[in-house]
Amino acid sequence: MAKDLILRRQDLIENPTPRVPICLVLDCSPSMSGDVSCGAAVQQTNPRPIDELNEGIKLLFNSILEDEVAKYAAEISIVAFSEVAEQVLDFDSIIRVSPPTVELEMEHGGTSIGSGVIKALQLLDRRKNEYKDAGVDYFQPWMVLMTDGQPTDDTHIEISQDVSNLVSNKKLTVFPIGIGKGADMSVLAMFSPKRSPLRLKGLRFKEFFEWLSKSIAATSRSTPGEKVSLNTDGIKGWSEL
Amino acid sequence: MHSLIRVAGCSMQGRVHEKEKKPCQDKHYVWRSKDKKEAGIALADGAGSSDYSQIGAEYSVTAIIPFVKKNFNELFSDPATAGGKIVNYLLGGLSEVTLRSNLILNDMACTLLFVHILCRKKTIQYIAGHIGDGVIVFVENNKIKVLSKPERGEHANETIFLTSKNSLSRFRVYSGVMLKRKAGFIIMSDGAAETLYVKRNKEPNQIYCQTIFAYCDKNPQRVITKALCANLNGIFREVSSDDCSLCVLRVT
Repeated sequence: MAKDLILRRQDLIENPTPRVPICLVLDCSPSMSGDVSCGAAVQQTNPRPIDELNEGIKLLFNSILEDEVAKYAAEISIVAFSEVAEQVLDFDSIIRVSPPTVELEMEHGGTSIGSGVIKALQLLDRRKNEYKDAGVDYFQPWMVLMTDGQPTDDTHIEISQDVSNLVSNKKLTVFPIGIGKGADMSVLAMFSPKRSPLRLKGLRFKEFFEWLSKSIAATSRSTPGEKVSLNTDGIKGWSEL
Repeated sequence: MHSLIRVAGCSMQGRVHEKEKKPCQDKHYVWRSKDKKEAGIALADGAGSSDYSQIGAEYSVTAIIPFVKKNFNELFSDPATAGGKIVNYLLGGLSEVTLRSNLILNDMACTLLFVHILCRKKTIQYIAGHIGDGVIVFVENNKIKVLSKPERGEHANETIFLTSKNSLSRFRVYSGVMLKRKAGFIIMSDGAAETLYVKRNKEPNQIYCQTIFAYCDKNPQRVITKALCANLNGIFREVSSDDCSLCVLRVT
């Protein structure tokens, strides 16, 4: 662990590229198996949503690695949540890590969206402090929140207000994405005062992550004063608008 | 022995702008009087948000040095009001440029860094100005120090421009007197600062800056310019994907 920490710090020292920190906050509750008996809104066992999600994550990593600037700038962390939230991947240079597999959490069940977001904010805060200590510039952090259900506790109520404040103060960019018809879009909207949540078209995770990688690449190329506009045409490829 | 001022500068298109077939938005300007007793260096980094900011940057660097030259004594004697005079003058000029070009003032958004010196018998008087990111360093007793640090927001694409609403209050002016012998200044855009400035401790890269000043002591301006450009095209371009510009002023 200590060795790994040294390596992480070393990377911040050797690579001066301004970073784009992105935290993926992903629902791994049983309903992501696509099985209605586990809470999925519509039976979808082949392919399973969780498998498509993992394929999308791999594609995200590979697409970013193909971009000359973004591969040095993008740092991705992953938090998976069901009843509890767990860190699947900590922030690091995308060059140094392999895309992990998000496993279904069948033991506890539940969908504690707030727990996932709380964990994500902790990771983002810690990473920002590491950037500051190392003198590495960073862009406004991104948080991608994906769920196919509705919360099974109240943890989202308080933290969504904190997230909204961060978004309003331009300290965080949030992409709330609903998966399937069971996703509670009104809860996702609580996290996003500026941008309405979008519902994924079918299981088009790959299209979404392809779009996300392009958006990350555009941000990593931006220079002072430049406001990066999202590719709204690209959104049509994966979202039910 | 008479002192000699040498000035040189270079701006280089970054990898991203090259790939996107966009022009270099960094511009620089260097000037030395015929009697070699007065000199100025300036650079400006056009905002990435505008496709025309290189026009504002070009105007700003070519306008600032003659303005400071003409008003040197007045600006030097009252540095508290110098920033306002400089910003108002440049904004007036930029407004005329926008009218001629059918653009708006925000299209001209750019940072600005400059140093102007006047040689006296054993000393030099200097005026330096800065708005936005980039860094100004100077050498005193063979130690390279920061004169003006980058000013930017929390995030990487946030800074202050000459055309920003609060530019009058954010324009920083420095003036002073230093021993003439071995005096020197380097101004750099944020892209070049990735190599010449250590953000972790907010200090200049001593070895690189010393090397540049030492090179200026031994070579004519034409050769120094070539060397700066070769380096911008080499190590600077490897470190940063942004446009890079760099100017040096050295009294030997």
